[in-house]
Amino acid sequence: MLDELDSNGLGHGNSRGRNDESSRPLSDREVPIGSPRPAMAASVHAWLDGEATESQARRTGSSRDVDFWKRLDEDLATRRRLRTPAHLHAQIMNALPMHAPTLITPWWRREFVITPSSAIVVGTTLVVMAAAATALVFRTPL
Amino acid sequence: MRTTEPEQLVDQDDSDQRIIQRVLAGNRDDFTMLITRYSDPLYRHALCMTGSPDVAEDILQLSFIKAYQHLAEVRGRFDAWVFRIVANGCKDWLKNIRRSHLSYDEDDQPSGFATPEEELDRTELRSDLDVALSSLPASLREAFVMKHVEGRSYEEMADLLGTTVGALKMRVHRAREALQALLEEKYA
Repeated sequence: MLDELDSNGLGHGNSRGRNDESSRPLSDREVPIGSPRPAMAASVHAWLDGEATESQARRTGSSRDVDFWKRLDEDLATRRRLRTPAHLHAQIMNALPMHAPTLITPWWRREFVITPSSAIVVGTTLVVMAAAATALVFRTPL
Repeated sequence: MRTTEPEQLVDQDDSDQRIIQRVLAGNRDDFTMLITRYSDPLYRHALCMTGSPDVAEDILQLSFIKAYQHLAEVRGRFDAWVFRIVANGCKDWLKNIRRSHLSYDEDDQPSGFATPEEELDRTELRSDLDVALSSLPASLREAFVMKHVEGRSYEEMADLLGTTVGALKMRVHRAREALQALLEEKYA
């Protein structure tokens, strides 16, 4: 049964997942999923997934469920035909930056190039800082 | 019930990469090819996740701007990468906003319903389904929309969301059960 699949696609451990789900607090936009009505037959789900024919779903499932989903599909078909509003393409293009996109690399991933002059500058700076720190540590109070 | 195949072709990676290279080389206008190619399924996703055309447009615009700015960082499929930007934008919006329901305007498609009564029924069903969808947890709504509105296969969904086919089947099944529980009294 497809309903019994857990997140790994295996058939065990389902009850634990459902318990976790039911004990989880619902947000204000959510509704409890558990309903008193009997679950839809697997054959109806298979039909909706394109894995079974309508007659199979009616034979082994519920004709009421099949009719309900055929009715709902009228609206879903309309939604499947929805297209982007005509003005939106131009609106997006107008909002794009004028310059070409460039790869932004964080400083810690950038390549460091050490030239002789930069090495001298860095070395001198470190020596001066070390000397200053040493003088500060060994300074004796008068 | 029929589910449609995603509109983008499977073997478009090379083409996308060539467009990306041209945009990175300074041909900014070529980016519109990527927008045209992928905006429709992304718009449907954002609209069904948020229930608001204005919000969906904002999310799509911000997502494509973000995609443009970080285009040099694309590794792998552009469509999967930009989908994740849009999906995260929708989730962020859902986390931050508190509202119950916003219906969207009629699409541009001609109506296939003959009478005003049928048109009224259609509008009512759409509104009720919007409310029911908005009451689902975001993860269930996302899975349901990807399956039934975007027409994606479970394998593609798993690839895009970085989870397993089994987990997604369970989410879609639970979303169906919840929607039917909410709507069947009126529509069954």
